[in-house]
Amino acid sequence: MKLAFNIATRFLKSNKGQTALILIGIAIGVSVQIFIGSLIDGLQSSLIDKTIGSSPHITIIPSSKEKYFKDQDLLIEKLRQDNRFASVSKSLDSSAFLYKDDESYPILLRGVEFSETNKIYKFDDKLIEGRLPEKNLEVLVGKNLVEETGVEIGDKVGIITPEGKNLDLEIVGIFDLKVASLNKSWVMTTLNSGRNIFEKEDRLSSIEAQVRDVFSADTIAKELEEDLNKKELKSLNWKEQNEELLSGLAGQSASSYMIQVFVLLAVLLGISSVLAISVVQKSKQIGILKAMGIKDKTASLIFLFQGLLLGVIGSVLGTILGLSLTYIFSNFVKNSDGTPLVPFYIDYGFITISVLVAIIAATFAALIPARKSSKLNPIEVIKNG
Amino acid sequence: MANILELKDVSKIYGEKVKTQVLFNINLSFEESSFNSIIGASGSGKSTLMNIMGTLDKATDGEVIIDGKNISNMNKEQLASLRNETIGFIFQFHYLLPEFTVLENILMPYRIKYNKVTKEALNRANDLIEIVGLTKVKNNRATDISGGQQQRAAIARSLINSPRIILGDEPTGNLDSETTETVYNLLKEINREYKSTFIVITHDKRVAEKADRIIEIKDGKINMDINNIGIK
Repeated sequence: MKLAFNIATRFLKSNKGQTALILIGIAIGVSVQIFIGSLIDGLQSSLIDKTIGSSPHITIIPSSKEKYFKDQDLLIEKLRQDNRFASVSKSLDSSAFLYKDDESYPILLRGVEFSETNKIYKFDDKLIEGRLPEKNLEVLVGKNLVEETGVEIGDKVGIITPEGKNLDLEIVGIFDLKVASLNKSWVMTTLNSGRNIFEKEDRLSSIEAQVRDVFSADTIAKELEEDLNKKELKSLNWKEQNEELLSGLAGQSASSYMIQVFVLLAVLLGISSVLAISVVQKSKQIGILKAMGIKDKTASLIFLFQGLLLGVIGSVLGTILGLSLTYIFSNFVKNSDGTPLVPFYIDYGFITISVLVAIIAATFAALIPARKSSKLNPIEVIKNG
Repeated sequence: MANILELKDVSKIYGEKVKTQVLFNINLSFEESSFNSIIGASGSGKSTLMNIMGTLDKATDGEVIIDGKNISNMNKEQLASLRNETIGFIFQFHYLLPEFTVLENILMPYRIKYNKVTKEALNRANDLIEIVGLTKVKNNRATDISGGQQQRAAIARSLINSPRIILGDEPTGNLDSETTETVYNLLKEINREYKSTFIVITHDKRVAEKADRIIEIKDGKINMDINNIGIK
C-alpha cells in the first residue's frame, strides 16, 4: 500500500504539467458543481423565504360554510405544545367598510394576538410608523390604504360592519407587508378588540400556524386532519396553495442536477483518459516493477491512488474556487436596493456530497487504467531482441 | 554442488495459427555460485530462454525448476514473489525508474518485498552503492547519471535482496568497451563475494570468455556447452 502510494505520488510529481492540467480540470468541475448547487439552493431558499416566510404555512378554518368556530383552548394548546410548530396564532377576521370623506373602502379587519402573529407576519418589523395596537378600537393600517385614503396616525376613522354597526377606530400605526393587496385591505387590531367590534365572544375565524420545516407542512396538516374533522374544521397548507411554485422549484432542481451530472461525467472522462495515457507513458516503469516482483494488485493500486490523490486535491481546490465564486457572486451581483440578488448560502451537506462524489468518481475513473496496468506483461516492455 | 536452476525439455512456441517454435527441448542445469554465459546470434532464442528462466515468460512444454521449486504450478502472484526474492535482473537497458533517485531505485526490490526500509537495508544499499562506485551520485535522479553509472545502479538494484540467481540480458550491450570491462569485472567480483549464480546473455565473444561456462544457442537448440575454467 505504502509503496504503491509512494510510487503514485512520484508519478504525479514527475509529470507536473499533466498533473496540473488534470487538477485544474477536476477543480473547475467541482467548483462549477458547488457554484451552481449553492446558487440554486440559495435562490430556492430565498424564494421560499420570500414567498412563505411571512405567511402562515398551515391555516385552520371551519370545514362547513360557517365563517366562525368556537375558540377551543385544548386544540390551541395541543398545537402550541407540538415541537414542529414555530408559532400558532388565533385570529378573528371579518370584512367591513372604512369611511373617509364620503368614500368607502372595503377592508378586512383582523383581530389577532400580536405576540403570536408577529412570529408569522412580523408586524413589529414591518411597522413603518407608530406602534402596535394595545387597547380596544386601536388599529394598524397598511401603507397602500394610507396612500389611498390619506389617513394619518392619530386619526379616527369610521367603519361599518356587515351587521351594520358603525364604529370609530383610532389609527396607531402603519405597516408595510410589501404586498400591495394586503397593504390595501388589512386593518389589524387585537383579538379582544375584534371580538368587541363584531360581537363574537369565544369565536375565531382561523388559526394560522408556521411550522419549523416548511416542506413538512403538508404531512403535518395530514396528521391533524382526523382531529380537525371531529371539530368540523379543516386545514389548508402552503404546499397545496403553491403547487406551481413547487413544480417550478422541482424543475429548477432537476436542471441543476442535470448540469452537475454532466459536469461530473466530463471530469470523469478527463481523469480516465489522462490516466489511461499515463499507463502507456509509465508502461516501462510498470514493466520493470513487475520484473522485480511487484504484485499485479500493487501495480493497479498505483493508478487507483493517482486517481484518489487527484480527486482529493482537485476537489479541495474546486471547493475553495466554488465557494469563492459563490461569495463573489452574492457580494457583487446585487439588486437595485443593494441586497444580494442571490444570498450567500453554504450547504455543508451538499458540499460534502459533491466532494465525496468527485473523489469517488476520480478513483472510479482510475479503475480502467488500473486494470490495464495490472494486465501489462513485463515481457512486452523488456524486449532486447 | 547443487543445481540452483534446471530446465527440463523446455520448448517454446509462439503464435496460435502460425506457429513459430523458438526453443526445442532445451535441457540445462546451472550450479550454485557458477558464472555462466549464453551466446548466440540474434533470433537464436537466447532472450526467450532468459525470459523463461526468469519466469517472465512461460514455456510451452517442459519444466523449469528454480531453487528446487517447479514453477509451472505457480500463479502470477507466487511467481512475482519468487522473482522478487530469488532472481535479480540486469537488462540491456537499465530500466531505472526516472521518478526516483539512484538510492531509491536500488532499494525498490527491497520495498516490494518488505514494504518498508530498515536501517540494515539502507546500510546494505549504501554498501552496494560503494561497491558499484556510485556513492557520489546516489541521491541524483536516475536520469541524471551517465549510461555506465545507470547500468551499475541496475546491478546494485539486482543485488539488494541477495538473490540466488542473477540474470543478465546483454547487460553491457549498450556500453562502450571500456565500461563493459568495468561492469564485467564488477559482476565477477560480486559472484566471488556473494556466491550468487550468474547467467549472462551476450553476443560479445570476448565477454563470454570471462565466464566459467559458455553455452551457445543456435536456432533454438544448444549448439555448444563448454566448461571454460581450464582454458582461462
